[in-house]
Amino acid sequence: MTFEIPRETNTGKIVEVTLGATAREGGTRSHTVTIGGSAALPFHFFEGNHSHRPVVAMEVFDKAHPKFPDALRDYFGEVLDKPGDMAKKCVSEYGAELISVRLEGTHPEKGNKSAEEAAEIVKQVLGSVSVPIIVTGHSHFEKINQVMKKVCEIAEGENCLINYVETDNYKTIAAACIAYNHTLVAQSPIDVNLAKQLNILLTDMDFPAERIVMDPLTGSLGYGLEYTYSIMERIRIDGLAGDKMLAFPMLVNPGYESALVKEARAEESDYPEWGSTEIRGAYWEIATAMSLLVSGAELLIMYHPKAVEAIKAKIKEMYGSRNGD
Amino acid sequence: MKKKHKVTILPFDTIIEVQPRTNLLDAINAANLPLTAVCGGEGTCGECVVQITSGRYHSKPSAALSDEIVSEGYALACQTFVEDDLTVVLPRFEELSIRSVVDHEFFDERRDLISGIYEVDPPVQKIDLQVEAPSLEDNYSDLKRIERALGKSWPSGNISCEYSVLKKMAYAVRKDHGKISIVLARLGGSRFIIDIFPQSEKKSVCGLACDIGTSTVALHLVDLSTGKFLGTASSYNQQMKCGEDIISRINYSQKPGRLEELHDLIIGTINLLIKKASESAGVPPADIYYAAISGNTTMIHLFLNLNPNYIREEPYVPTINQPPVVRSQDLGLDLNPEARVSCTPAVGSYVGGDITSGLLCTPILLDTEKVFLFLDAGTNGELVVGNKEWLMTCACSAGPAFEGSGIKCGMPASEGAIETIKIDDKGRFGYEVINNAKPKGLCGSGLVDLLAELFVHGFVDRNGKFIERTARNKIVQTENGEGLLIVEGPKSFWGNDIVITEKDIANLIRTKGAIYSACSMLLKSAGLKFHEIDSVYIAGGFGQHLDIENSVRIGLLPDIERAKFSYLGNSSLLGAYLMLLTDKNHSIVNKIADQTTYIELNTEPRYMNEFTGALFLPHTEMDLFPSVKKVFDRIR
Repeated sequence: MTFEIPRETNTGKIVEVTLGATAREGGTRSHTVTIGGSAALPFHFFEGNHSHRPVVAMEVFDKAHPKFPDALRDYFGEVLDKPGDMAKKCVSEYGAELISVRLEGTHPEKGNKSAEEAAEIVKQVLGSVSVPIIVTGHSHFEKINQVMKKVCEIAEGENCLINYVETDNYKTIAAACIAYNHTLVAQSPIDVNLAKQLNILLTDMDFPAERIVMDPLTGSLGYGLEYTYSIMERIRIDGLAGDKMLAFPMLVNPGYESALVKEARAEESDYPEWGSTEIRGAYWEIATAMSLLVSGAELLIMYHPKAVEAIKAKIKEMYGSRNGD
Repeated sequence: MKKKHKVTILPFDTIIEVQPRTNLLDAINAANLPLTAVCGGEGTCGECVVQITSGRYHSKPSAALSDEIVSEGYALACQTFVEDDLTVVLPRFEELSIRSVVDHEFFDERRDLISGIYEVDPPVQKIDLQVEAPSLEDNYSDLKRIERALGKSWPSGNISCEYSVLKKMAYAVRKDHGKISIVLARLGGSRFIIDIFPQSEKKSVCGLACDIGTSTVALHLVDLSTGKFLGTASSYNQQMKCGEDIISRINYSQKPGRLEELHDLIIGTINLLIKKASESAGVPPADIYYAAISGNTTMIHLFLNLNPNYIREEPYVPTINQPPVVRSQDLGLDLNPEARVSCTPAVGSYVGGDITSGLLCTPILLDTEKVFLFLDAGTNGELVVGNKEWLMTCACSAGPAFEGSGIKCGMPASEGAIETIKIDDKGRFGYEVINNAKPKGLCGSGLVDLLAELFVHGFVDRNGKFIERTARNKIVQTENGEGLLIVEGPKSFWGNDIVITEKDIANLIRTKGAIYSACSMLLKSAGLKFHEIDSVYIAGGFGQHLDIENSVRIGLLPDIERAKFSYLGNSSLLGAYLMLLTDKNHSIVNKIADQTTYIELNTEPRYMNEFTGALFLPHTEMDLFPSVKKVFDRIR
């Protein structure tokens, strides 16, 4: 008797979301990146088609976080403070498929850079690389609304992924995305219902469904990853079961999350039994990213070049010669 | 040293002495009375309004109060300085006192629901007897001859006689040549003669039904020979000054002397109401021989002077669920000293006698097959599902929003409360106010209407946030952020705008979400779906015109056939009244308490998921509310 793998069949399919725009589509990117489109759980190739592979983005900063691990400086050195150059390095040397520009320095308590300065940085990065761009903000509503409005305006037509809006602050940024043709991240705090509610609110204001990416707000390994794993899995199962308001591709931030945890940063001299900081930092991010990938993430924003390399290789290995870009 | 001024604060009757020119809000807070101002004493929010009925004071003018109101002695405590002995009324608590919890017509309507158990055979009643005169041949004692006379019309059995009755016996049996009246109490299988008097004294025998709520207390005076209402009274619970909710009351009771204080306050509250009701009915309190008391477990503990602390602490065990019958003199109630006092039985710490008493008002025990859902939507929501054969219950912390607390312009269902609201096609608000008074604020039923109307007319999104496109013209700034204008200042009693803020709406959504998700969890625990429920009985402090359609539209109640719903009002009080009528109801209510299974939601991980799902209008899963979906799709 031969063993046959039991198969789940799904009625729903994850929405396909295209990021970036080429000259033909009104932008200046050399190519676009499409995520989503899966008809089965991640890597369940035996149950359904996965039309696009998960992709790995890397992040550059308007202001590098003071707590970032030394490993990042070792790899990027001076360019850590030069977002345009760093983006170029990420793409050409480390194979970043997209670049996220994190605008934390516009937060009133973290530098209070103006919306114009932020827009200038985004422009610089758009000029230095040709991959699609993610613009990542923060939770100071009033300021980020100004910043994102400006960014949306100057990047009109580029179909950037504007990262993010939340339930208590979505209208201004969503309206700007509609007006200037960008895609949007809907972020909600690790809860299936709250995630769905925000997506309903967005579509109720006529935001196009094929331009929504969800961020379930995950944590890093050791900081509730199991919980975020099962929430993402439930979101994905519901989405595949036909719940249109949960059938969006998911974005996660294993880089940022892992870079800030003590276990990934602590000096080897303080914790000799934990081993080399450099390797540990990469492992921490890999373990986090891999779990998120398996629970349904399609777009991972990562930091450590070694981790990026490993995750990309893993995706390639899993997909093999299968379709998906 | 300057002479101090005496400030008398009503309705608490608290007197505090203060230095001249003391700020009145500070003085009231120094007396530990609950009066706050969200604006922090800036004189803008209007929350600390008081009425000063005697004495001189200096008050800075404030935009929050109209001139008309100021001329009636109303002032903002935070802007007022004491210059004399003052008498100050806190209107919010005064409102609770005149709250219309007792409406006879409404009460009578509810009787139809329960006609099966509505029969008059009170456990305490007056019995007229002809006692044979003693002779040398028949020299039985007075008591023996009374027992013999009683045995003719009442099946024999052990009868005990109170000592105080013995003292009056010789006189009573001889005064009218053996024509006597006795008051017989038959409770829990034992029989007591608790009073005796000659028939010519023609005393009536009355009963008292009382609901002790955490914030309000209401009672009915009832003629036990007919079951008719003689008088009624209600007021705020004087324990309010020791904390507004159950947990803060329990905390308060934990210092030496404070349990006594809380006990005395509730007895004092009830005695005051007894005085009011008996005066208006022309019945002396000494004619009241039986009291049925209903209330949540904590209130009953405080009423009986029992330590409630273990209700609060894990594993949440009360001293007693089914209190024994006690004598009024042991509690200090101003009734006949031998009067019997019964309390309705609790299921547990968080499902009390107010709920079992409420269940008594439903026909559940008359019908075997049909499954019902009983829902008391108070600060603590309590739910019961089941039928004659099984009952399951749970409690949820819903918050006091539907009772008017925690909502900027919320208030209890008393005079001046907007109790229904409609928005017409042109976006104009129409409303009805209790007693046709000038509107002061919104009570629970008004808030339910308002939220439903705002939602279906597109003023708020499914998250309860204002939609600028439609709401723009009605938005005003308040110290709680943006508010939607319902009644303009000049048209309101206080002279300032009646508004609803996004924060208020979030509060209402949390409350309705807690109740709906608890219903949903309870049904899941019982393996039932909403459409399998045959009747839904709703009790609580909404006011008396809760609109079922609107309750469904906001997702407070499930979207099932509207004919299945009925609104019971203060069923805790109604149940206490039924306990007066026949002892059978006492056994029924005990049976209810015994056979009810309690489900703990806090330890149920799925509850959180149900709850967040319900934090949306009407629910994250619109498919659960097909009728609302139709309305929503048509409007958008």
